[in-house]
Amino acid sequence: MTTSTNVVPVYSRRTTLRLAAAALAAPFVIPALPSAEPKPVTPVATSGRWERRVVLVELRGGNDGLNTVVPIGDRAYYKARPRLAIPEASALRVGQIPFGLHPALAPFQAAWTEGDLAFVHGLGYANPNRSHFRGIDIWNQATDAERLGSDGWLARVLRDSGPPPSDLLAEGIIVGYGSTVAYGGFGPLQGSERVLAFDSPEDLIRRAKILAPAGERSGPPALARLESARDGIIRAATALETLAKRSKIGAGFPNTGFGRQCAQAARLICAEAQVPFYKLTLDGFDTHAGQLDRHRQLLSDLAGGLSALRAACIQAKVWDRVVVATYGEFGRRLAENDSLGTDHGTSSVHAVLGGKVKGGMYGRHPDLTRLQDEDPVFTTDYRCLYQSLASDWWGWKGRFATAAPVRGLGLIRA
Amino acid sequence: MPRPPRSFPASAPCCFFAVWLVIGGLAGLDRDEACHLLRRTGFGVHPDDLAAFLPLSREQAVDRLLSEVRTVAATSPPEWATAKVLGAAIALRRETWREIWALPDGEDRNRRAEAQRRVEAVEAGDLRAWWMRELIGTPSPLTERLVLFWHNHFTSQLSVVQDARLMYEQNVLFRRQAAGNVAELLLAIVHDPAMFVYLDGASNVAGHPNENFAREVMELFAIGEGFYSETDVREAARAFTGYRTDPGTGRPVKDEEQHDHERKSILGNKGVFDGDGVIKILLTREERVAVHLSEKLWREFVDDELDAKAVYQLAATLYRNRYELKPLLRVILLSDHFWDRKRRGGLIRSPVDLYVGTVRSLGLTVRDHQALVVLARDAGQFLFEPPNVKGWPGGRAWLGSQGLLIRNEGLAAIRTGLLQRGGEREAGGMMGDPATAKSGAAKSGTAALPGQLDSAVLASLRSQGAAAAASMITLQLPLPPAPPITTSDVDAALAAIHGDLACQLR
Repeated sequence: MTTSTNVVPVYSRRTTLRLAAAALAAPFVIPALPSAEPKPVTPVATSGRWERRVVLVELRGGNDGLNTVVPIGDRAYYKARPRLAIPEASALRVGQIPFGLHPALAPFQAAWTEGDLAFVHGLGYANPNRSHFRGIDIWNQATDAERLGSDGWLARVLRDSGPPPSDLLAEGIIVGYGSTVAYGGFGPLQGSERVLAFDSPEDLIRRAKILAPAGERSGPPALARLESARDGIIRAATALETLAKRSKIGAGFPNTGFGRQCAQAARLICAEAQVPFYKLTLDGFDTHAGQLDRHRQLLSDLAGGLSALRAACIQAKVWDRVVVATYGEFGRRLAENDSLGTDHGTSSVHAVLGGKVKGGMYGRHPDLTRLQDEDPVFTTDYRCLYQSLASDWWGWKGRFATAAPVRGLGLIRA
Repeated sequence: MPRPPRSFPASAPCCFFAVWLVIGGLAGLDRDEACHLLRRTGFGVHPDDLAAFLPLSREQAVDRLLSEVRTVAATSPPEWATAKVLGAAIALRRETWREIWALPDGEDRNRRAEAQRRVEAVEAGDLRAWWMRELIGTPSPLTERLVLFWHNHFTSQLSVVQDARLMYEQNVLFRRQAAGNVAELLLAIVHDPAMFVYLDGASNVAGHPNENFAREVMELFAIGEGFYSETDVREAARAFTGYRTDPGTGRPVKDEEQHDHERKSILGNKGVFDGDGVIKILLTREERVAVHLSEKLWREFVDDELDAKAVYQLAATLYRNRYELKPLLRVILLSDHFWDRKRRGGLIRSPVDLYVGTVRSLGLTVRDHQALVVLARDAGQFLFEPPNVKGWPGGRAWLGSQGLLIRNEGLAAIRTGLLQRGGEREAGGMMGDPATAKSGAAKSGTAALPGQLDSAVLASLRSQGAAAAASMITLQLPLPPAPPITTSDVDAALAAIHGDLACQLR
């Protein structure tokens, strides 16, 4: 099976024009470029890793990747979706390539034009699981489908990352408290001990007041652990209080749950909170019925929120230290169903953006005429995306345990 | 050993001290010891239990706990979980889904699927509430501690297994063998329908082995990491082929046509093994199973830190007693390690322990078990939903991130009467997710008295004056409070107790 090893940046923006001719000459067959070895990525100096930020956005429910980055050059797509396909005419053109963006992604236009937005096609894994729960477990734990893991992949990366700076506020912050506790808990950060989950810093500051510092006493080691847990929360709340005072929520964020998550993350990042990882959640992608309207709102929320976060980070001059990536349990079935929706599928496309991201299209658009259980076969191991974030960006030296070795996508600029 | 007289009234907390003076010196446990034993083997300490155990010697107390261990639940299960029709109901559910998916794609199918999902969500909620009721109401908290232990050892997740009946059956198995026999339990797990679903038994067939179950048997259930090879996993997977649920009866079967009848080589043993054969090899030729289980039980009852020598002795006990658990538990609970003063209060309570213990020790009448399920879930322990196959990691992991904060909020919610408002609701939401329970609970009903928690224990203490608060403190905390709790107001003392870190320990 073609998987990870021939992951190449197919449509890096710099090669767009050169490739356009080839793409147009061979319409409907998305040009499978020769499986050139990816250019070795200049390793990122690990010393600066704690200054870098990763913002993961879970697209909960399974986003319809084909209606997100629309394969306008692919006849099989239009054939399978007579009523749901995004017409070529309404897709946002992003260069002379056989893809267009869903019109609701218009807020992404600036990021694309300025070259710091990338899309990775065909992300998935072998023997795909179509259960929401198992599916997101697999993505959270970065395991093969047959292997049940336990810790989240970011927690494992953190464990190998050396001593954190003394002013570390948290290893990760999960914005959107309600979305965290059940079902997989802290997601990619599961197993990490210093994770905070809240709707806003003020929310945690208020709640932490219940924990009173107390007198000294001797006791078993477990007591010391409790004391350190309590002090950790109080410290975090105190640090957040200082940060929260000096950072205001910027304008331009959508007035939605996800928009507010983006605003809170941007606020902390821009205030230089010492937190490497953030996780946001946009829920509602399980579009079995009446997909068109719902999906438009979701994508508009996604692009609006992330673009506002980008703008805020650019203004605060921290965008070069931030990478944002989306992920989710699966994509959706190629063929539309009779309820104007799509059922659970397998692979999907995901977005990566950041000041140091080499914009463009990566991975390979799956062949929509060769289906396995009604779904196209994934082209790019999803851990290639993680490897890019963990190694190329965060300087992790480890490798994900995969049947076939994976490597980063080369989408981080040195 | 002669049984000391038990002529003292069981429910007179003011007499405890006298009881201790008279009996403690002779044969009985002292207060700290009795509380320690009850905290470690059950959930919290109720004054009546303390009174009942104070006159006993260590041996008598431990033997009493072990003799009281149950094999069946004390509360009646949800109606749909009656044993007679269980197998048929499992098959029926599968048939229902087959019918739904056979319908042409469209509104009708969606409507029926939605209706079926709602039914299943209610069942999931029922199941969780039922176990919570049992945890609170059982006359033998040690039984439920062990059921929870096995649930966390042979893990399955309802969200993956999908059928509440299968999870109920598994829970029944864990109770039947709670302090039974490890070998029988391990063999039963090989034939457990919930486990078939959870670890892909159905797709493990001759010629196309799925290694999931075999791997977890080696890594988590029986042997432990580092004591087997990948080849052993592959070979064992072949031995486990063909085990599945019969679609007609919903009962476990070994499908001989899907079973791999060839020779296998497992941990150096060669032969034509089936699943039972593999387990028997592990049990009889390897000491690792006994060590692995003893380590886990040590962590549950004695200490987070392993004492390799002591654990090895426990393993020998388990092995010598042909995997009978009671002799092992007896040795653990009578060991000097268990009674070591320095170890008292040395384990961090799980959310279920913390909340169920609080409810039990205060004699609270719970009207809303769903709300309690949600509290524990929010603190990281959702019954029937361990986070993954390794189960809840326990210990300090409960405190991860703001666990302590959430737990304090949970105690405050209990203290302000959350569990006594409202009543049982039909579960709603995804997979019986009682996420809506909180708002629902807030709407209906009121607590007994504004600002006062309706608790049998508190009511009794409130009438007793100054010494009552102090008496409650020693019942609730394994270590002296810091700063000292000086109020004589029982309700204020309870708030202070819940704020004290020692409340998180057992």
